[in-house]
Amino acid sequence: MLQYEFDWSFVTRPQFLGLIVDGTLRTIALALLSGALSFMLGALIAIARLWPSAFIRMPANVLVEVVRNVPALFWILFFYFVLPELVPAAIGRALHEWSGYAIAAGVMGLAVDNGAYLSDILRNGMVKVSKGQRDAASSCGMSIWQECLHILCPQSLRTMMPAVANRMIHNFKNTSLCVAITLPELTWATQQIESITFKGLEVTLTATIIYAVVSLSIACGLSCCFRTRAQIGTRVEEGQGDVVR
Amino acid sequence: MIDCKCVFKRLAGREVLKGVDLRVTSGETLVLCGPSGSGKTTLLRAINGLEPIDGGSITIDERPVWPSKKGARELKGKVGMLFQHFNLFEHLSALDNICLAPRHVLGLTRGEAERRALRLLDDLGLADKGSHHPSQLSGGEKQRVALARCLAMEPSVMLLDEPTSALDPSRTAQIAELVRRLKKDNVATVIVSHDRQFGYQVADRMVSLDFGHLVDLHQDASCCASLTTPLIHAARAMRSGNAAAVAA
Repeated sequence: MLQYEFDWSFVTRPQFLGLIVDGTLRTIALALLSGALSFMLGALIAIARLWPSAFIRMPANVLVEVVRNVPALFWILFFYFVLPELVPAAIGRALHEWSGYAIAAGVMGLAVDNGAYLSDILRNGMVKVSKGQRDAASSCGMSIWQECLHILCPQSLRTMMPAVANRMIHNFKNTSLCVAITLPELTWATQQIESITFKGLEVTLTATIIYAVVSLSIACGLSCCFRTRAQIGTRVEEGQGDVVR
Repeated sequence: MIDCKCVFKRLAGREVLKGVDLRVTSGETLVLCGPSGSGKTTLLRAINGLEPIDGGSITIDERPVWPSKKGARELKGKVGMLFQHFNLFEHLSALDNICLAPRHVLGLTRGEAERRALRLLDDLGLADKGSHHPSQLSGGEKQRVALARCLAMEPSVMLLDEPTSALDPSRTAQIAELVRRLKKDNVATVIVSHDRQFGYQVADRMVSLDFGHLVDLHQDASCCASLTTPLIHAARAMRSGNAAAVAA
């Protein structure tokens, strides 16, 4: 029999509840901002990795390999502690004094890590678009950018969406690493409450439930989105039967 | 005008084009025939800048296609190519397939591009198919949408790879009429076709790509009798049942 007596009273105390709610909202904001930035970064790197010139392709490949082989935590620490020392002193001082720099460093660290993985997914998706489609775009006189924007991206997006969604959920979970730079997100909030109440089990369970609920909500939302798209696809396929051949 | 000088092309270690010289003037229609795998499509792709060549030069309207860094993009859609497998943009409707390049390459407004596209669809008997996606079209319909996509760019050179392969005789006649209209509009046209009858209908000149070399075929069948390329020789031998000649 479990001898431990659970005490959930901290949840009803406004100061702790406030910490949890603030932490949760900050975690979601961090995931959204880093997710959007990493997608843009991933798309740019993916295009660079498909560029005809090796001078653009090679640095992009090296960048991805370096980022993927270094832990995400390192990138968060790098942007928070190291970057302000690498820039001119005046800018470094300004960054240190800026109250929002922890969030900015967290967003950049997460985005760089996630962006490298996303670039791989996006690149593979673009490569899967048949050569005939790219030939047709070149033949019409489209520039490489127009080809990417109007042909490659829309066509590859559908096939790579499930993998992108997985990375976004992973990115959401990685936000907990920002506790290392004392960013007041959910994990930081639970540690604060635990250090005051000594209710480690209850506090950790609370955080676990919140992470799981938000992650599952993201997964369900994206899954519904894909199902709707798949149904539209099926309707198009069914429509073929109506065509008189 | 298309001007190919001494074009060499090697594919998978095999020399497909061995010094091809070809000149097609504005308003001229050239039909290119030859056996499967003889390099007809490769030559068309090279003229369109999609396939780099290993030697020689290709110019379109005095602008070099090869040697050039940009290849097909250099031509800004002035060369229309109908692909053997049509290559319609799968995620776009027939109308959007036709409008995309005129809007983004020629800078037409959406309204102008759509008017042009609808006129072309109407001309090709596809007025009611504008909103259909390629997966909802039959082979012949796809082929005509692909043709409309080329024509929407108002090209000065047209390259048609098997333009009648998916069409019934009445549609083939329609394409022949369209090719004649291109001729009137001073468009230099190269057609790859196995359909000799269609070729005779539209060609000013017929050539055959035979073992990497271009051989001029005359429209008059009696002239073909004087040709002695290995392929024609083998075909003639097979018809006459001369097995020894085939083996030779």
